[in-house]
Amino acid sequence: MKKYLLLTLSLLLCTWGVASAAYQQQWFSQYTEKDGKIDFRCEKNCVVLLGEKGGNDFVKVQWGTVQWNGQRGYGYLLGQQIYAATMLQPGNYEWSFVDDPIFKQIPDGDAAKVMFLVTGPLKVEWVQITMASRGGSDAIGWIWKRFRKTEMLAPYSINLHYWPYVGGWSWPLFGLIATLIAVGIVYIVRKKMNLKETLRITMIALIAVMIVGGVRLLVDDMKIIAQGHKQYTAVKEWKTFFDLGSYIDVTKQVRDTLDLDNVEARRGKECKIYAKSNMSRPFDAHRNSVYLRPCTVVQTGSEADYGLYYNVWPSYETGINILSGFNFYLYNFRQ
Amino acid sequence: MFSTSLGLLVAHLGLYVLLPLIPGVITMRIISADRVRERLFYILSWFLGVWILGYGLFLLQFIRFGIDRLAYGILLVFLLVVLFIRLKLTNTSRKSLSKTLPLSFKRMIPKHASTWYHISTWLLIVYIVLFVAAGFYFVTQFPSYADDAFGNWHLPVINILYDGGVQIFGEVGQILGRGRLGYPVMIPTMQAFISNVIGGYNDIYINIFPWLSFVFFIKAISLYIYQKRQDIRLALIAPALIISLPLIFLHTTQGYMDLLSAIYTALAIMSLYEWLNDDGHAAHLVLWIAFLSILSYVKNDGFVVYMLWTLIALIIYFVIHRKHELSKLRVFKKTSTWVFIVALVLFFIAPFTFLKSYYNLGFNQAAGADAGLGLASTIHREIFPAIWKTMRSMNNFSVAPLILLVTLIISLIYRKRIAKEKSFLLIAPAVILAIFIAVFLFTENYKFVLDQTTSNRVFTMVLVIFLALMPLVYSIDKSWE
Repeated sequence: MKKYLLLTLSLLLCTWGVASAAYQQQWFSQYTEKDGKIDFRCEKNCVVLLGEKGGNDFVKVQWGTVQWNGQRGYGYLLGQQIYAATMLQPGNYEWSFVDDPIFKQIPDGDAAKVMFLVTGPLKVEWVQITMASRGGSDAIGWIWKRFRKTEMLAPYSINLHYWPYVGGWSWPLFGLIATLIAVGIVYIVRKKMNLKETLRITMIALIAVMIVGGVRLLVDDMKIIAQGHKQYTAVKEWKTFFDLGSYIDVTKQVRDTLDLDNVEARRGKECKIYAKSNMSRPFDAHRNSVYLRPCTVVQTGSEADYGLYYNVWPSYETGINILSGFNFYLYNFRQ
Repeated sequence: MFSTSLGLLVAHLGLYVLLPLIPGVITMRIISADRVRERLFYILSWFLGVWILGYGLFLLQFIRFGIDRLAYGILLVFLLVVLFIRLKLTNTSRKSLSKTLPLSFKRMIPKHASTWYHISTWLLIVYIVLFVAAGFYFVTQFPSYADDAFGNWHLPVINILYDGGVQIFGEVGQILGRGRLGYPVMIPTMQAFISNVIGGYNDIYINIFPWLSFVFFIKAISLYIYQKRQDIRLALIAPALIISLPLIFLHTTQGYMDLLSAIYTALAIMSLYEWLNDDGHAAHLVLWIAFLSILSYVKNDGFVVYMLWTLIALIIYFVIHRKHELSKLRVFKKTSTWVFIVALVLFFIAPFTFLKSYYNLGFNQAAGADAGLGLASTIHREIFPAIWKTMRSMNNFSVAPLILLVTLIISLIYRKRIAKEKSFLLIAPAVILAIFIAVFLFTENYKFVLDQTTSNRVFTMVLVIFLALMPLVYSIDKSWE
């Protein structure tokens, strides 16, 4: 898909220049635009160039009647460089440039042109695409929304934490500005301030900003805990845990069946297991290291005593199925 | 593996506290560290005891003991014998502990404090308690999650548990924790021992250890700062700032050793700072050497990173303050100091260094060919935009780097009014930070900054060390009070 869009865009660069409406567009079999609302029909690959990002902050897309199964996406164009497209989910959608990981990679973001991309077949009765900047109460709402935006538990969370943001400012940038404002206010109120007082107020303001940010992050942690409680702790059967899904629950059943938690009985006994899944990291890290111990995970079914298939069909069925659930099978290969 | 119950929870909590505490207390008596005030004494005993237990059990594996109650008993008897000899040789009676601290927060708050002081103090307490409670819920209800916790630290625990001990000699691939062989196995050995006492490995309660370490750490630093400043609000600011670092929450709930490295570095610097003070006692020096030795193998890079660089900071300190401070070094003329140094090095550093050398185990198996301490062919200036991006837009450190910067500016401007021994508190994290940057700048390790995973963790831990000690810097000068 990405390659296809890039090819389309390369052709577009050579043939650009058709400007029959407010937005520049190309390759639609039917395209009409009135009062910002567009009706179109696209058979293969079509592009609407929304213009330079400039001072705009976001793009909002509202859909009328959509027919057929085509795809929609967006991307950026800076000089001859195309920045890869992102697919849009069906339904009304709004994306902020500061939230977009692709936009963040563009060195001179404001100069980039924003592209709306369609892969047909797709017929749309009307769609309204608005690129605009925020102002007034909308801006405050957006700032608050970004500040509240929660980051859930993910495999990278131990090394990365992006939020909170205050509007387009990251928390450190906001902290710096807030500190300067605090020093300025105190200076205006007191009318006189020596270096020691300036440094003291700077330090107090930075500490305050850091702790407020920390309290905000604690809300993230609480939400993670609430989600984990809902998925894992409060559930009696078929527990799930974030992107590990039901893997922990399946592991528990496997361990109970093979009596793997019985340390004394298992000590010194060899056990080999072949484990297969349609998913890799972090599943394989858990599976190959801890979850199936003391059994050793081996690479082929022929050298194993047991076989575990999680989210895949069994591929080595010489043994007896000793346990199964709706997304896993456990085989004993030695019987 | 995933069972939870009140009984299991109490058993894990109780054993994780008590089993290290007992050898820790005996060892603290051996090194005469009962000069440390009461509650801080028990917390530091626990931190020391964790490694006395881990290393003690590990050393007993050389003579083919298991990881069971017998090994624990032998370790305690050995420590008691050493304590007895120590008391006899030095003719020291068991002194009563020095002054105790007030027990309640209410009594710690000054009587004539302002309303704002009361409000801000209680807000800080509520914030810290909420964080600790959130962590407690996480480590007592949810399974391990982050994948390095499994491959690096939980795998040796479960292998050692089912093997019945650490296999010291044998084929490579079958020895130690049978995981990444260069990784230290002392904490996994201790955890395998506790799992053995309880009767099985628990993938949920295994994370009580990092949480407990963190809770004891914030308790230790707030007690220590209160002891120095008699200001409970200032004492609470350090833990409040540390818990405000974005990456800390998960590090208190997952079996990673980065936070533990930072904790032991901060404790080492704290002990050394205590020794550098005018009323410093040699016991604090020994405690520092103990924590420094422990640092060598908290995780695989502890030896190079934290231990060596804390030493460099001390050398820089003595070079700067050579006129006034060199007399302190006379303590190294005493035989007893060298007995302790040799004993601590033999106990904490020698065995694993020997094994790494014997089996020719590399510096860092996880990083493979990417890791190395050899000089790169070019200076990797590209790390600076990467670090700046990480700091500014990714928000992994909050505004802590700015606090570090302002503190350094203040201490440079007012350097003449800074008590000399307290400058060490700033030199230590600054040197660690500077050498980290030098390593990334001049060696092939720059890759770890560009992909940000390692650098985010490394800088977070440097900031933990700095923030833990920062309030003491602000006690340097009466005019800042």
